[in-house]
Amino acid sequence: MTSVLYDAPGPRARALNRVLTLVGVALVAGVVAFVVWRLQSALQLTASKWSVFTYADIQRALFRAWWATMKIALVAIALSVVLGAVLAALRLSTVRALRLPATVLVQFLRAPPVLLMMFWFFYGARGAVPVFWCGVLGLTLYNGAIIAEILRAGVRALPAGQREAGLAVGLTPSQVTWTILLPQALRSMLPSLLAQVVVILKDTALIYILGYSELLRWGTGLGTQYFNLVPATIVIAVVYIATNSVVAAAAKVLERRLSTTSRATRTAAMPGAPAQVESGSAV
Amino acid sequence: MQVIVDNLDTFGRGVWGTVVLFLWGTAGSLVFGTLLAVLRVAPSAAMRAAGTAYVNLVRNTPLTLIMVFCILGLPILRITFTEEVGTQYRIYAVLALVAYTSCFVCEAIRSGINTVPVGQAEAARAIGLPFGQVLSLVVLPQAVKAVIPPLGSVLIAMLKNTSIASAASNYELISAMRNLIEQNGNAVIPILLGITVAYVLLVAVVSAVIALLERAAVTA
Repeated sequence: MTSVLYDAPGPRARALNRVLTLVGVALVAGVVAFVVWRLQSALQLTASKWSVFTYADIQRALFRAWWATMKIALVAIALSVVLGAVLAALRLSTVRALRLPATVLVQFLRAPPVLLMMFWFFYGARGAVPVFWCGVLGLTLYNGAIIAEILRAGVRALPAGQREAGLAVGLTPSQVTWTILLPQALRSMLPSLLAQVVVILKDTALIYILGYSELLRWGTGLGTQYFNLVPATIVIAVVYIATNSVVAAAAKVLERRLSTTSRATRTAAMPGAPAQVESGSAV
Repeated sequence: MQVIVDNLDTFGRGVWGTVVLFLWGTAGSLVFGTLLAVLRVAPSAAMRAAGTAYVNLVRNTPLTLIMVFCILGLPILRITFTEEVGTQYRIYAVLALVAYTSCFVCEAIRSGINTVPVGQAEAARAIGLPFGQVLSLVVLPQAVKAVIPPLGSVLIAMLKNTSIASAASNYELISAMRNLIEQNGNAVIPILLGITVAYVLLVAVVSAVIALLERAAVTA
């Protein structure tokens, strides 16, 4: 392996690498052994703690809880994309009176935690907004702003000729934005957008704090009922990881496919471009 | 806004709690994240696999779940650090923040190293620099410049994520907000506004510090 850090290894380096590999394997084995020993000594590996998950009705309930989480995520994703597109279009507008407020709004919505935004609706509406919608709206406001920035970065990476050609054939500036620029940005920024979907999926768990029954709340409830909290959290963690890994893998595949076909993706994916900064801030 | 002025002590305790969580979280995730990054670029495949596995597993888990596991699960596993309950929950919350944020710190550092062109290291070796000097004089100074902006975003996200510690019996801004709202049901909007402004200001301060560091790194 030649990288910026190492040269291709010679005989001495290969011997050293073998030692490092052994150390690495020992390290991982040690950590795994510690976790297993801890679980074992706290009696968390007994069959009775895990057998619950073999019951058909528990499995069905797990699926329903997963679907409750997915419903929050799907509604939030749909609304965020709509809000993101509107905010991006406003920020790209030629009218200053539209551009400025949209810029301020996007900057403002990116600052507070998503949990606080959920509480805006939860406390601010004095119970008039159902908890489900408190969660969805909180997620939508934050992620709408992030998606607006992703889309704007995508539009800016498009060749200027796209916009000019649209205007030349007589389309209005807003028609150019909605029918020519944003659809292309949506396509070229699909990997970043899918990465944001993973963020939304993870953040649905925040609604647990508001007391809404979704996957995490179901898991802790089950754990309290059957005295198997540790196994229950491990099982739902696996469900979350599996769901997110599928989306993340899809993002990777798309990225590879798009990078061979679209110039816009490559430019937009350059380090330091706004889209990159976004993915970091959306942790 | 009167309600904030009247309850400045509660409000201040909330800000302080958030700041303490953020500082411990920053220290912990910078150390552990760097360790993970070292694993992920190590010359041995086993170490790289271990680093990758950790990052991919934890990064795809919601922080809320990690937080809940730390406060409910760790006591069951009899992993405790102190007798004092408040400190115990603070440590659990910091552990959760560090475990989660380290993945993103690791990725920021790794991508920073990857922005340095291989030709830089090759040129350094060609003029006869030993491995240590290739790293310390040529590769790492360039990597640091590329690392600071994404690392800053990660830390700002972590600052906002401290809000989740309110679910782990930690006193910070969100707990202070819920406290204030329970006691002043007639002034919900000013309280929400005050807490929001506090977060916006904290984020602004951290961004300013990062911008300063970035300028220092670029001119260095």
